[in-house]
Amino acid sequence: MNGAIADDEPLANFILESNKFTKDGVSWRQYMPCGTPCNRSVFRIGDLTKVETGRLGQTFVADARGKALLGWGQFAAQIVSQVRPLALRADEPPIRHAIIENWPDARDKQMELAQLLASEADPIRWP
Amino acid sequence: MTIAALRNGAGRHYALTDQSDAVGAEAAAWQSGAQKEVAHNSVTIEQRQAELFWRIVAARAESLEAMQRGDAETPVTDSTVEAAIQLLHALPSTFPDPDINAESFGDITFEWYKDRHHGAILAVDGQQVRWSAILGTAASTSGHETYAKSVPGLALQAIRAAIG
Repeated sequence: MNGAIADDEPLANFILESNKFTKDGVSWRQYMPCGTPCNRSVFRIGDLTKVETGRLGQTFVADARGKALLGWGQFAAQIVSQVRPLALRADEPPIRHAIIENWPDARDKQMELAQLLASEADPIRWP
Repeated sequence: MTIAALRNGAGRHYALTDQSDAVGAEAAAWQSGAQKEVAHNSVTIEQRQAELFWRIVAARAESLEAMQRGDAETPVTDSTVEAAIQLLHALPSTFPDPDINAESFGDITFEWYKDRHHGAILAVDGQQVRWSAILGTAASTSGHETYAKSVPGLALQAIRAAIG
């Protein structure tokens, strides 16, 4: 599943810390980029049930960090293309992994774009 | 109240003539109430500032724990805490209490939210002050300035626009 990502594909960004949820959504800090070059990991969860998505997150994200999966933020891929200049690219392995890239260097701009992504994310609690 | 009493300073702000005993008593009562109100407001503001101060201290402590767990990249420094406290005192008292957090990149942030599509962040690291706000669906703003012990005017505008 390393091909082009359709606009309507749902994406999950797995959450391991409780402070990444807000009272009615997902915190902007969950979408802040990290690493060099900076990007933000997401998983393509089209055709997966909630249970399957939870197992995916636990296996490939939470277990790797020795933590419990608390849930994920979910939005359609087209949201990323609406937040310019961000771009989405398939990036396996691991399976179904993709990255949100093309982040600006300025942290205030990163915060703004992360806020825009977070404002469109539906919070899914797990288990 | 007498002129002599006035000369001695009693009720000097409110009683102006020898005929003003009744008015003076009323004024004194008003003054006493006003002083209590001012004192109460002052205490309220000080209590609010104290609560927010302790939230900054707690955020710094959480940052230290996050560093020890490996969840944070950059520690919150003393200069960042100092800058955050100065910014706290520089915020308009009319603003609602912000959420205060230490970030994994070493900043302390103040956050205000109206709803999912309206919110503002003010971040400081001792060198720079940064802000970001979403002002509805797909509308947003951000900026940064060298930290100068005050809240930048554009940041105040952004916060007001987000939560007003």
